[in-house]
Amino acid sequence: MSDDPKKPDEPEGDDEARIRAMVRGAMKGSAKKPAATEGTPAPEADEIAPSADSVDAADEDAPSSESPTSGDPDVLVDDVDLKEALRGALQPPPGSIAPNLLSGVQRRLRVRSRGKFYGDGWSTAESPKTTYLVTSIVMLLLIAVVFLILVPWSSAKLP
Amino acid sequence: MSVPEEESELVAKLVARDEAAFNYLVVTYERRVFALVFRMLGRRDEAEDLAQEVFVQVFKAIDQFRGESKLSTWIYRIAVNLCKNRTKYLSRRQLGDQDDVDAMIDRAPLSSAKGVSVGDISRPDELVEGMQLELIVKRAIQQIEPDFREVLILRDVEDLSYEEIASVTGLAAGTVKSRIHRARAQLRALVEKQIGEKIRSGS
Repeated sequence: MSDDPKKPDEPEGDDEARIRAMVRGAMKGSAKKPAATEGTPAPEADEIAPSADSVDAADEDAPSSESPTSGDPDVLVDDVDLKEALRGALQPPPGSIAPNLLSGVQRRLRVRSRGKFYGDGWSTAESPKTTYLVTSIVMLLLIAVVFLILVPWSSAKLP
Repeated sequence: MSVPEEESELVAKLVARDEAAFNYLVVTYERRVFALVFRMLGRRDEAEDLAQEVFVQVFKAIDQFRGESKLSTWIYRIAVNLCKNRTKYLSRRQLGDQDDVDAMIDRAPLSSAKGVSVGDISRPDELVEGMQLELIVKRAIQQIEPDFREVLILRDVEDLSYEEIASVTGLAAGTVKSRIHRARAQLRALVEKQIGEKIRSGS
């Protein structure tokens, strides 16, 4: 036993400090993960969260170095790290974009408009305009060929 | 804010009910809309359904777009409003099945944190692995009040400006800032609470 009355409390205090240090480390580690979202920029200094003690909304834009949460020993998770963790946590799962989102929207519009929109098979496809052009030319050529074949016979006398 | 010329042309085609233009719109915005809706709802099946509904509403209501904000902001507004309605509907239904977030947590339980004590953890990455921090944050964000969650996601994840958030939500800018502040405080409290509980339960 020690003579120092503060001694018995020290392990508990150390424990708290270690927990805080580890959690901060964990948050930093999590924040280093690359973001999968397209166009998600890095956090900017003007996006740092406000003081936890303040209810003044204008304080929300305080720079990170002045953010009380970044150096406050009573705060386990500071706002910058929390933001990064939030971004990472809310990434949609890989491959979660529905491949048939467009077709699903078209189907709904076709049904609800009773065929007024996306009523034909052509418009529901994501085909470029060249498809229509090529199809038209092929059909014209086909008609021309048929015409050239059949017209000479039409003028001839039947046996 | 003036709407860019390209956007004006697109809107004009949409108002004329140009189906090709609408296809372009869906392809251009589907990822962002789906991601936003998924973040709001936390359920993939509902997110897919609602993302499609967002575009249907855009198609129906494009006449009402006046160009006072960006088209993306207007689409976000529709998405957020539909998310609010769907959230209320789902909460009323009191579904027994778990959402995707809970399901993920169940598939990857915090079991590895059970045997981890404060003294055992010497590296932060071990703590990350053991506590599955992102899952904790996922669960925490779903526990925040919907109005707070909405603005927090729009700001911290979608990177919208305060003005854009105000336009999307219809709130005053001061209210938006206040809600973001309180949302962060709520989220931090929830995350810290869960982290602290896990560490202490393991020690």
